[in-house]
Amino acid sequence: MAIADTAFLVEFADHPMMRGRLLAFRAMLEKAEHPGIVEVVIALKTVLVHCDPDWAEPDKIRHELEQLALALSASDYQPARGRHWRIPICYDPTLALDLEAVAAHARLTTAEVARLHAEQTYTVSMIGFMPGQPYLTELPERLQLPRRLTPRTSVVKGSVAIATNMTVVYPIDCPAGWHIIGRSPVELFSLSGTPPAMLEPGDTVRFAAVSRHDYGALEAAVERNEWRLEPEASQP
Amino acid sequence: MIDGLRVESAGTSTTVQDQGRVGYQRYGIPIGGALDRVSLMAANTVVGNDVGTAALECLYQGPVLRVTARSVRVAIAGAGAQLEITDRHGDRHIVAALESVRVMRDEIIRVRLKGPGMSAYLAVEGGLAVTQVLGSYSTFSRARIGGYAGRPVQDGDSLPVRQSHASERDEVRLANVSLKPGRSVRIMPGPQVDAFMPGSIEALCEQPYVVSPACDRMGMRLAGPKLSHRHAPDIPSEGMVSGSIQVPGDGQPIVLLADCQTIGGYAKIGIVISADLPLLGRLGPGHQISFSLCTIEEAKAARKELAAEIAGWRAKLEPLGNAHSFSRLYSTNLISGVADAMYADW
Repeated sequence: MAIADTAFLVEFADHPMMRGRLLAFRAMLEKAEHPGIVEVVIALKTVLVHCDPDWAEPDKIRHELEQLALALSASDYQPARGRHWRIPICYDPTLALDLEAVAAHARLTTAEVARLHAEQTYTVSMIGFMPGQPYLTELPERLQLPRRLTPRTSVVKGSVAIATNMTVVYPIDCPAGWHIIGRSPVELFSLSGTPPAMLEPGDTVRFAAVSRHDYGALEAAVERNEWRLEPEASQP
Repeated sequence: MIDGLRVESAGTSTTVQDQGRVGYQRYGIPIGGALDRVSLMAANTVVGNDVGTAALECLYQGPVLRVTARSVRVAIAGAGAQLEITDRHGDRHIVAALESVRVMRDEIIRVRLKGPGMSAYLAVEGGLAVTQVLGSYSTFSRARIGGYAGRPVQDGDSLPVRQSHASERDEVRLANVSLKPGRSVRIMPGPQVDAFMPGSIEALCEQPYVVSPACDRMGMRLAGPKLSHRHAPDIPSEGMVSGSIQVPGDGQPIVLLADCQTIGGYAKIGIVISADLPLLGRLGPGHQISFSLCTIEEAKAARKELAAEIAGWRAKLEPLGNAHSFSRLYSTNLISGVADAMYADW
């Protein structure tokens, strides 16, 4: 579907291997090296294709995208087998503004919320909103709740938040409407990185709880450029 | 350190911008760049630069700059913008928009935004000597990327320029080009137009909306007839383009601009066509904006027409003659009067 004179939004029907299909479609577009395609952004069920509007007629690009999407076969679907990461997180209440409210809402203790959040293995569904920001699925059902009624105008870099069926880590100070349950010292976005975002759609993530003290030490090490997170050697 | 321009007073929001950072939206980095690319290109044309050269984007209240290079050639572009140059004798001279001027060391350049536009672009011959980040000089302040130290300029900053002095040539004017604030922009139906009650997009186009004070480089909130969703305003998050008109639960539309988030979760009723995006960059709080529907064919035709107009600018440059090398013939009052009369019908 043409959503602007500069972009097409390709929406995929629900499918158990949605992530694999989206990744395969993106890989196909990249491989085609289509001169009319400028950028490709994967989201939950859609692939946004930014086009050079001067290059071709909209009907032609639409037709080509349709053909490519139809040519996708199940064997192309890339299973979500990216790298695996263990991301340190501190659930200390001083860094977790909404932890108690979330616990009350879920009728759990704060320790149980932290345990449930950290026990789950998540998949990076998409990267975006803020630079390098991962959207991770699937949040344990007991922790799922709607967004805050009033978004905060600014939350601190590294804040780990939950809402609906997802959890996110905010890579920079930004406005946010999700419930903050912890903070991570990891740099998710770095201009010196290639690519600048640490995580990619399809990567898997588990959170590793650290104490307030260890959080402080890691944060200081990141600040001094002495530590950066590396992916785990093997899948969970 | 190369000399250039020293910031005496930073203005409201003065940032280095070019045509944006393409290719990094998949990592969450918006394209960014000048809110009004047409004015950016016009200012660059007047000083003889490539049209996409990085320049200073000045929003609301413009900056005051002291020249520390031997000399610079500058030009301002923007609806109702002008330059006030204070020479070494303390005499003030006005230079109209789209006229080049050579300014000597220790002279002061004040960017004046008299309205009706909210933005203006100050181009410097040869360009500003800032570092390219991810293929662009544009400032993305939220992530501290690009431009001058990744942020709007501050009092006391020294902005280096690439050329130690202005080249020897006559000053010019870009004649018969108008950069009016766009009160009327064309939209295409958004991807979730059906998530709204029937007749909503017609309602959006029927009456003008007013730009609210809540606006920045990320987006502008509008106030006007309430738009109702069929169900909820939330959608599964998807990629965004600038110009998207998203509508949160309160029914008041937000038009996303150059620094818009790469992924968003509100239903989008419409999307401003690319040829009219620069017009949005000229609007500020209190301005009215009217929308009209158009087709993708019309959007493409409008884009071609704009590109053709810009391609014709070089031929429209008129020499001002040596006497105008500093526009010193003009007195402040005279030129202000002319300018006011010119813009009176906006």
